[in-house]
Amino acid sequence: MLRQLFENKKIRIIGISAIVLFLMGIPWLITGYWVRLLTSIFMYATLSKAIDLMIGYLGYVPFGNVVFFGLGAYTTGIAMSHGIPFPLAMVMGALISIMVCIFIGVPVLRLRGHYFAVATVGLNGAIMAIALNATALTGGAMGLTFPVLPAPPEIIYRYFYYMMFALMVAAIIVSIIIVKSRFGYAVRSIKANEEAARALGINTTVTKTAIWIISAIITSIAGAIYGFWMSYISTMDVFNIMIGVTCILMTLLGGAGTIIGPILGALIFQFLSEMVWSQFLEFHLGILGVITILVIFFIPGGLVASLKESFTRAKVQHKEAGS
Amino acid sequence: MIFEIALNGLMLGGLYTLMGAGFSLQWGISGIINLAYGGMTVLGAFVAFSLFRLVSVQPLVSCIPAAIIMFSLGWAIYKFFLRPTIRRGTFFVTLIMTFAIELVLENFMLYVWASDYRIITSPYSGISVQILHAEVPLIKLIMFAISIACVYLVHLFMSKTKPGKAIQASALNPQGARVVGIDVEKMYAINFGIGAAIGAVAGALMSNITSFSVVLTGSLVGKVFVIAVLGGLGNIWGAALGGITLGLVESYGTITIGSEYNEAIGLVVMVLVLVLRPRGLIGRKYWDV
Amino acid sequence: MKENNAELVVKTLSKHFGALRAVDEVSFEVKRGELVGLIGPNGAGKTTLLNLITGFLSKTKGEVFFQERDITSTTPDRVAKIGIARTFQITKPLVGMTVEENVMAGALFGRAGRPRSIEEARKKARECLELTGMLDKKDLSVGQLTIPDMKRLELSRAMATDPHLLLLDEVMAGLRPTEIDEALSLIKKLNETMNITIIFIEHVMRAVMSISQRIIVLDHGKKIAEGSPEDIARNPLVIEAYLGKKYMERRKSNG
Ligand SMILES: Nc1ncnc2c1ncn2[C@@H]1O[C@H](COP(=O)(O)OP(=O)(O)O)[C@@H](O)[C@H]1O
Ligand SMILES: [Mg+2]
Repeated sequence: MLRQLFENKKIRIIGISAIVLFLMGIPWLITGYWVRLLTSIFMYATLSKAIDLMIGYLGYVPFGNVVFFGLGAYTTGIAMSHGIPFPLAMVMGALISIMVCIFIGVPVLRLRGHYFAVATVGLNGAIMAIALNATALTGGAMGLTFPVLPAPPEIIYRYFYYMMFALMVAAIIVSIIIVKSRFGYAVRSIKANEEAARALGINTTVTKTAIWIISAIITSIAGAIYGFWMSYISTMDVFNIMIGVTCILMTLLGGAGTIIGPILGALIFQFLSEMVWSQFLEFHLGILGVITILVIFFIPGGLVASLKESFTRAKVQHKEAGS
Repeated sequence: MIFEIALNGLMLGGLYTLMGAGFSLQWGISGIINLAYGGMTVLGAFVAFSLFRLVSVQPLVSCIPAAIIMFSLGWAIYKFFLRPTIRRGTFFVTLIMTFAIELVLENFMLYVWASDYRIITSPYSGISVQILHAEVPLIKLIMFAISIACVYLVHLFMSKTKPGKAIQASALNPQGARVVGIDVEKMYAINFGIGAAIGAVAGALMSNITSFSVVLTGSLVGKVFVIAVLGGLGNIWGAALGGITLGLVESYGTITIGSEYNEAIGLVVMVLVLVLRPRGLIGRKYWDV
Repeated sequence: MKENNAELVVKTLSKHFGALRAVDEVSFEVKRGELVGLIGPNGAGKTTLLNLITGFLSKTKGEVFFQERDITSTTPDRVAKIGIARTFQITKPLVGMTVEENVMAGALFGRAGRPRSIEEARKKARECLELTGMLDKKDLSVGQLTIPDMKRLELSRAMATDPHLLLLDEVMAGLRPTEIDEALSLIKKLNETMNITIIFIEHVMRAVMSISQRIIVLDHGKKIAEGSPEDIARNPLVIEAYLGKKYMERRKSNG
């Protein structure tokens, strides 16, 4: 039943439009707390989508992808403190991320498996140390303050809500376009078998760097919005490996390489985080660890795959019962 | 001046060698990049610290119980968490699993010991030894000696004893090892435990010369990874090469660039090695062309 | 290089793995439109030679020209782009994608030209699957294929790249005799009606003898013979390489 509903194109379009309209209208009906929670869910969903472009589609795990979040936030903050308007500052952050991708990505992406994963952690650590010590530019350990928007809080909340929402929608659309495009075939071929991909004429270096650049741009814009939203950032905060790992976990939970998986993962995870863990602050890390272990043991393929499976099973049973 | 830097680097390198050896064994033989290694090392330090504080066990002696406890923990973690994960998932899921274990360990340590920095002030601190024209604290020398002795013991164990040989065979040729009746999985688990025990000893030693805290776990994993990349995997001598290189680079970097870049220097060196010397410093391949 | 119709020219090509000379000073030419068999005992260096031509391995020594251009240090993807397709002896399917998607990847990339749209690529993929008789399996995932089907998939995928030159590495291994006949006529058809130059490595002697216009023989990395199937069948060096010295001596002494 449910599956048929999903498969019907008309119903799907109506359903998606309803969700979008609902999310567009909801910030006018709820309190600031909920607006902020939803904004942070959108942010994690966006970051997870960005990291899943690498994990789910390309098959590379950039453990330190948060480096682009930090670069985006810091570049934007520094640019804005020199009077550059936010949109332009955000673009500058993205450009810096692209440059890092090109100069460091090309050699680092030649590494396989574990080595790539941890080289990105090294990259993040190195750039974080630079940001921490270039005090004149970044404020060092004191952190960096953004100009505050001259508006009442609830307006500001909604402003960032819509920005994050737009970014998340953009990330989803980008991933759909990629999957369906020629470029997407190149990316998936590389994940499937890098040598075979090369034998078919796919320039693996360019393709890998390109998808990482897309991931980096989305991540860095999220960082820019986050910095502006928080109006204060520190290196500990925006270069925090935990952000990246949390996103990997959300992706795993929802299902890597699926359109909606990372979003679903982020939604459930952030909700849990807010509802349950804020009650047990002392055990936040431990609970995170335990949930991860449980996910790996019990939903290894992610929720989307598990749901699909149970739909299929339900359908079969339905048929059997009918015949 | 150069001599003093080199001497300091060497002392530090001895400790790094030991620390790197455990991680490198776990990676090279059991096939696991253990992101919980930092947590295991610091846990070793805490065990030594508590034994010293509560029942005044000599700090250097406390290495032994710390090693035993961490061996058991490492063995159990491999058997009950890592093995089942390897069987059902890709390497990246296993990587995440070790991270999850790290989180649980960290939380446990935070709960028991909080996040404050601790240090063991041992009876020998304050005493210095003159080597040529450099002053070296006695404790650093002792620590260096113990590190090297431990590394040598591990080497002897691996190359001379029956279980050591069985472990090596399991890594080099699992099928062949199974044929001759070696329980390969058991060997991997034991090896993982040994790696954890080595980490714990390194942590316990470290607690005698610098202050430590749960906060350090991440940077410790960074260091051992750098060591493993520099020296190659699953090989004690590789760990020595990587450890001493890192020790020298760090102590030289501290003088010339400043200690605040300590961690970054190691990481930059690692990324450079990965990128420029695809076969590592001694010919290990990190990617295939 | 000298003649205009030389499709592939290999000059004193060598590959050493440490002390092992897997390919040792091998030179040969293949003319446009030729169908050439490459044979030799196991470990002779055939696959390595293919890897050298397609840029998957760096060369210790020597040069390779394709259609008069130097491709000695060209990367595998560029090699594919200028029109050389290959199959892998140990098949390398794109796991996680369907049979059709595998072949579509070939059609979407491969030899440079006007890039195909996804729909055009699908059409091309189906044509190629039709050729190899795999069309009815197009929606299977590659994990469900048998080894012979895996080989057919490799061939379909290579065909989808529109190659000028096709390098086949033991595509008939594991096929039954009737299937080998089908494969042979397919290869002949590709060569004759689609005008593709083909070099194929094969162990099944009957197969090589029956369709090759010319045969090149490798042994211990060296080219030991080259010529028409009849010449090769009579060449004592070749017989020795295949059957061993003892056999030759026995034959001689038996008169
Ligand atoms: N990557 C490699 N490293 C070391 N030796 C190799 C490598 N590839 C092939 N060889 C060796 O080169 C020789 C030729 O191998 P190969 O080209 O596969 O032979 P064939 O395809 O004719 O059976 C063999 O002895 C093989 O062991
Ligand atoms: Mg071969």
